[in-house]
Amino acid sequence: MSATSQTIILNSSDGVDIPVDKEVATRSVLIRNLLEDLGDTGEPIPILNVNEAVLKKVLEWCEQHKKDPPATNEDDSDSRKKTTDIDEWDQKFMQVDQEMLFEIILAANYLDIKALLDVGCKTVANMIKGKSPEEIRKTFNIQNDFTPDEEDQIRRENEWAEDR
Amino acid sequence: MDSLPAELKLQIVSYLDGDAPSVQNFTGEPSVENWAHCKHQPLKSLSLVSRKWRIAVFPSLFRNIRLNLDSMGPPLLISDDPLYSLRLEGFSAFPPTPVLQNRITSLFVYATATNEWVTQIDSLVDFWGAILPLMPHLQRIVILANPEAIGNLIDIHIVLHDSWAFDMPLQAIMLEQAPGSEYDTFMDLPDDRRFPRTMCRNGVLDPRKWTNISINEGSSLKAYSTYEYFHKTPPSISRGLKEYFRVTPLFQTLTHITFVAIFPLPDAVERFVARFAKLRLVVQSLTVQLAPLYASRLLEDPERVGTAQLSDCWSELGESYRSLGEEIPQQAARKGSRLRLFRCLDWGLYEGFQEELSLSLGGPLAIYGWETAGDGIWRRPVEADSETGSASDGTDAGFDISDWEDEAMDAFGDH
Repeated sequence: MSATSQTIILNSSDGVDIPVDKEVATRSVLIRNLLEDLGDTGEPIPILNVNEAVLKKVLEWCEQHKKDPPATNEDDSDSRKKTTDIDEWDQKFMQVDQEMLFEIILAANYLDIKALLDVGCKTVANMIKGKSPEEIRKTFNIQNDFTPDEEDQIRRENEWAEDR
Repeated sequence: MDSLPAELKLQIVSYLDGDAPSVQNFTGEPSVENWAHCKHQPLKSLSLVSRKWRIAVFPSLFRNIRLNLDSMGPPLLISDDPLYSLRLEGFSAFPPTPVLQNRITSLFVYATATNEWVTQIDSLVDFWGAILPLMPHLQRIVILANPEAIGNLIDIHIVLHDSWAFDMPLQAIMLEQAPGSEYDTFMDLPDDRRFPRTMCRNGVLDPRKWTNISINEGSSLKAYSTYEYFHKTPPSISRGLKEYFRVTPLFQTLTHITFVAIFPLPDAVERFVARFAKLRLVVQSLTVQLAPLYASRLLEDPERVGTAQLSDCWSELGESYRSLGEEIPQQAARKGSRLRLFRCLDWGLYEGFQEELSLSLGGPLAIYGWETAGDGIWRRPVEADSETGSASDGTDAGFDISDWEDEAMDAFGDH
């Protein structure tokens, strides 16, 4: 066995085999655990919830970030300290249509790639900032399911909360 | 996006969950407009988007509650039931549900400068007695009101006779508890650490183990337009607190003090430093900011500057920093001092002033072995103790209330 790059094959939900460096694929905790549990049999690893287009996009991110130090859980302890700063490469990477953006978030969640999930959620948070409720609904195509009375009630309740 | 699983919605919300304006702007000049209102309200906006998002935003949004005292009438102190006193006009809907009560970690209480009922009521003891039990996880209270009202709200005496000379319509105090100590009250202390009940007041300062006190006394700029301004006494929360420190258990838990003001008279700063002579026994870090925030453009407002000579303001500010530079390292070097960190938020704010600060603060601190730990931040290394004979080791061991009380009684005498 050598420590040099080793290729494994992922099988997307739409049945496409995608060869990828093990070092890149194991940014995903799910894939890393699968490889540890099943051993490296050379068989394609089925990724049931992610199609080819999204999986390739996710692997593109993993390739770029394969040398990143492992994530720490420090920032989990205090959510208020979180920032929405995103590095330049990631910002460009996230310039995709909304459907793809949410597919990436769901895939990152499924594949357990915390750093990519963070970038995805930060991107959505940044899209929400500075917008009115109506603008948010428009941006994300969300149906308003409140009656005008309920909206009034919520506004009144929100008065008890600080402006944030 | 509406169909994202709830946990992912929560994660998105967590990135919108920043500090409230009352905390973000605490080092700015006290202002209801800037502290209670914020143009961008991502959590509130999101809460109005749809039911699912309302649910996702709820816990974060209602962590920071605010009470606008202007919108209420005076408490009706006519019943033994503490909750009864809270049946104020407009207050009946608070707080929305018991589930929410457990989520509240931060409370912002504010009143405009002209609010009358807060200043007229002799004692607001029941006000806090009724509110605090509703928020068992509270970690922070920010109070913004006119100095007299603050005196009333936290049960301290504020000297007001010269207040006409100062432009301090509003002042503020922030009390914070370390996270994780949310259930603590002084009543939980073992008997030997508990202060006699008679020494505790029923205000807001006693019932919790506050670790941080931040004070913002507003601007003294107007005073520099008056005759013999240096003889004037500003309304001062820190001055009012000195009596309080003497008789309450607050001292057992206090570890950090922040003092913010705009061009305070050097006399006020000297008094503050003198008060610190004994605070050093408990406080581990001290933060000060004495110049206006550059972004406030205060000094470009002819109405606010009036006939004040800005050169006076800056030279008095230099004087204030010289007294801090003289006193702080000396105090810290004394026996029993726990002071380890000193932070000057004015560092780098104004061109030219930084040089003066390095001379008046950086120089003396360095002589006493303090090390630079960032822009405007100095740290006193543990080794410095051995050179100066301080007994501080950064732990609780050796802190004895009775010793402290003896010292405190003379310390706070009449500064």
